[in-house]
Amino acid sequence: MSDPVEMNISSDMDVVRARQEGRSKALLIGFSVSEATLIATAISELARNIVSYAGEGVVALQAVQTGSRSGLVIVAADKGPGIANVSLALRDGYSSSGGLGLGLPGVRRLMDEFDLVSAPGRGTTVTVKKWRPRM
Amino acid sequence: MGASRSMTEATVGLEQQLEQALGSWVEHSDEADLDRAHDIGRTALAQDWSIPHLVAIHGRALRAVLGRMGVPIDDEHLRRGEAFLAGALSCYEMTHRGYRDAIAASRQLNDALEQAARRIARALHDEAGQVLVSVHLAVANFGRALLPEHQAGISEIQGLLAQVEQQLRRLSHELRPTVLDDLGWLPAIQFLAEGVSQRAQIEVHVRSDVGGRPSPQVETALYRTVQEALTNAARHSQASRVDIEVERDGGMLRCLISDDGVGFEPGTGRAGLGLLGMRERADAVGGRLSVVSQPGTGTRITLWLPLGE
Repeated sequence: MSDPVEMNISSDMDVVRARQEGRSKALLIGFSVSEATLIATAISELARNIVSYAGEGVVALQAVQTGSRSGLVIVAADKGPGIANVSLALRDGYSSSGGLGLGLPGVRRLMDEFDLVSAPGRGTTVTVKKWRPRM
Repeated sequence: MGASRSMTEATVGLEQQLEQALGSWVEHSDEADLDRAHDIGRTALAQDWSIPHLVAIHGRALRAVLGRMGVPIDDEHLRRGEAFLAGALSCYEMTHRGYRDAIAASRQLNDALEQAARRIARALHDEAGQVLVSVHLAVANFGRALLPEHQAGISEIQGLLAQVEQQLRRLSHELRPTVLDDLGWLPAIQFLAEGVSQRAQIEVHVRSDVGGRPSPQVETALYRTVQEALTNAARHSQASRVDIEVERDGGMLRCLISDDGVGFEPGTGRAGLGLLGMRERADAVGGRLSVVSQPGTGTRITLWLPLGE
């Protein structure tokens, strides 16, 4: 498996780089072009959140293999203001996505696993995994 | 393994169908091909294709079609164009999945509500009903020990008890009619129609040539929609007649409910909420609902439900 990649995120350019990395890594692992598109979209949402709400943070990508499954883990972490009400942030219609089911709820739906740790003043870490469909 | 292979075969089949229909459309521009496109889209949705996946398959098929026609293809630029479209559509994929989740949640909620209604209906009918029977007997026994001049009081109590019993039975039936579970939607709807006829002085006609019973969820959706429509007709429409027709329409069940009442302006007032509930119920089981009404022209509700054969 390829080495983990960690990228600093603080500008729109960094968002672009993160999704580009994510797409190539996904294709390298063996995801289809369509799945790689959805992975790039998820990374885009996560990285954009970092720029918008925390100003800066990191996005890390790591190929994983457990048993017969292989996939991609994406960690988006920042030391920003954090989320006071996590369950509210995961509900459709909250905040910037305007009720369309984008943002964090959207990311959760694109990925297979989703984990969010956040507290006011202590930043936010979102960890998502996407597994390759088994043949 | 068997299931996943047949899934792959079905997917390959759908890809081929898409390519064939697309080829025919590109060459002949026949509306029937677009109808097939619609069908293919439905199947792709049922097979859980993502929107970007459909774009990718379409791109591959279009190249094959153009290649066969001898049209020169700029593969790299086409590929970039598709990647761009897929990127833009990936946002729609998120909201589409949200909608799908909402439908699943709505179906679960309906099932839970029906379960609760069934439990309460049974408790009212069986448990409370049993207690009432005992009270009846106790009062009758007690009455026999009383002097004749007290018999009128006993009769009055017995009359009131009979009323309570009747109300309990009716409440239990409205909550969840046992006939719906035991005998199915048609006898349940006929029974419902008779009740509404008597109480609201509306002629209700039920017609159906559909035999058999769909899934419990579909059956419940059908019954509840008719129930809501009849309640609305009795309360607001001033209708003198309601017609309920259920028939088969391909793989669907079509239920038409029409009345000769005052109608309403679509999108206004109270009618909106009740119709929204009906629509959500239909959506939750993969059905569809349409309502046509205007002030002065009555109301026509058409419900399509999947038979799942």
